[in-house]
Amino acid sequence: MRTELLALLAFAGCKCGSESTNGIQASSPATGDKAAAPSGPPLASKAYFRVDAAPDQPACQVDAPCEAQLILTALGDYHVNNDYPFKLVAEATPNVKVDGTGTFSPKGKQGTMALPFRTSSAGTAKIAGTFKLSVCNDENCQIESPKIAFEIPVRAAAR
Amino acid sequence: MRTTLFVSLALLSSVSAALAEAPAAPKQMEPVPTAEIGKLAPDFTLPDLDGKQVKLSAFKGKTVVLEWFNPGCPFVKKSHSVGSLVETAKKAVTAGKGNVVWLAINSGGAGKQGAALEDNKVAVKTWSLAHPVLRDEAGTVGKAYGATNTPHMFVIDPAGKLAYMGAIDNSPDAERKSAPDGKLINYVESAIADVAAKRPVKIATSKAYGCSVKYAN
Repeated sequence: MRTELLALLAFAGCKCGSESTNGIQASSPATGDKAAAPSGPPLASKAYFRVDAAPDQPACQVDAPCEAQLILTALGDYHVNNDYPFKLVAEATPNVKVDGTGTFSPKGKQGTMALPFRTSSAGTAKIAGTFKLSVCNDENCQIESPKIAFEIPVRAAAR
Repeated sequence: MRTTLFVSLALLSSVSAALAEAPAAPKQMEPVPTAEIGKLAPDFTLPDLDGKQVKLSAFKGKTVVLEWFNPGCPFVKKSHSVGSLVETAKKAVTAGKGNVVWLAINSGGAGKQGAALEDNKVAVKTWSLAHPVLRDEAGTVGKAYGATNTPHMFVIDPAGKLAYMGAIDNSPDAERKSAPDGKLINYVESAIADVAAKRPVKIATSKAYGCSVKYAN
């Protein structure tokens, strides 16, 4: 009988404790958009972000305007810092002429950096540079400047 | 025994029900920001890193710059190491010939990023800061000014009125490298110059950038 009474006391105590929060529910951590992180090895990463080349790069042709695309994914409870001036500061690479520092389009936990360029030779165009990025969670913001490099296939100009 | 159990159950049930129906406790009111351009800036008294009390109204007759500060924030680190806060305070104070005062304020709550006394002392040494860093652990002053970011800047004119509030500059990478069209504007220097020349501040507000202020609550 004493056991039953103790169990009832425990139950009642648990219920009372729940109500005594005055209706405020413990919130679970915000997860934001649940974008799946790209698979495969990233171009750069830390515990709170990863940078990948977009899997579907636009088809590029010699001497025609093209666009390299990078995907930034914020990891864990981090999100892309929408107020940050994201930039890809390109390094000089053979036969590639980059135009500007890119345009970043954020969306929740991911963002796409599009970098216009032209190349003068068929095969592959090497895009390399420093990606200046920022991600935040409720407590902290991080600024990072990873070096990245990747290649984009380029076909010969149509005759 | 059975009677005792029924009495206990009835008692428990009524207590539980009473608690379940208890009205919600009144929510604690958040201080409403009272800082407004052209109006008297909220007065305050805060301790510096040595515990010395610093009172804003003691500087009446001078231009006062308030810089919301958190040495653990990457934007503050960038601003003080390569950005627009490098030497800006010293230059402003020197050029002001005693008429410009610069105060950094850390509104981080105890245990929050960059709030520890030692972290602030290290930052003062690292960045050779010659101005006081004031501690506002309760966040009262930060909230009165509506400080949301670190860095978040406020310029108060000699009459004690708020003349500027916003970012330190127009380069939100905190490195002076992302100003539109490459034309960097240091809003605080510009506001100080306007105040000194007794003309209206050309850019009185801007959107602050950086980390959120790590208030205690």
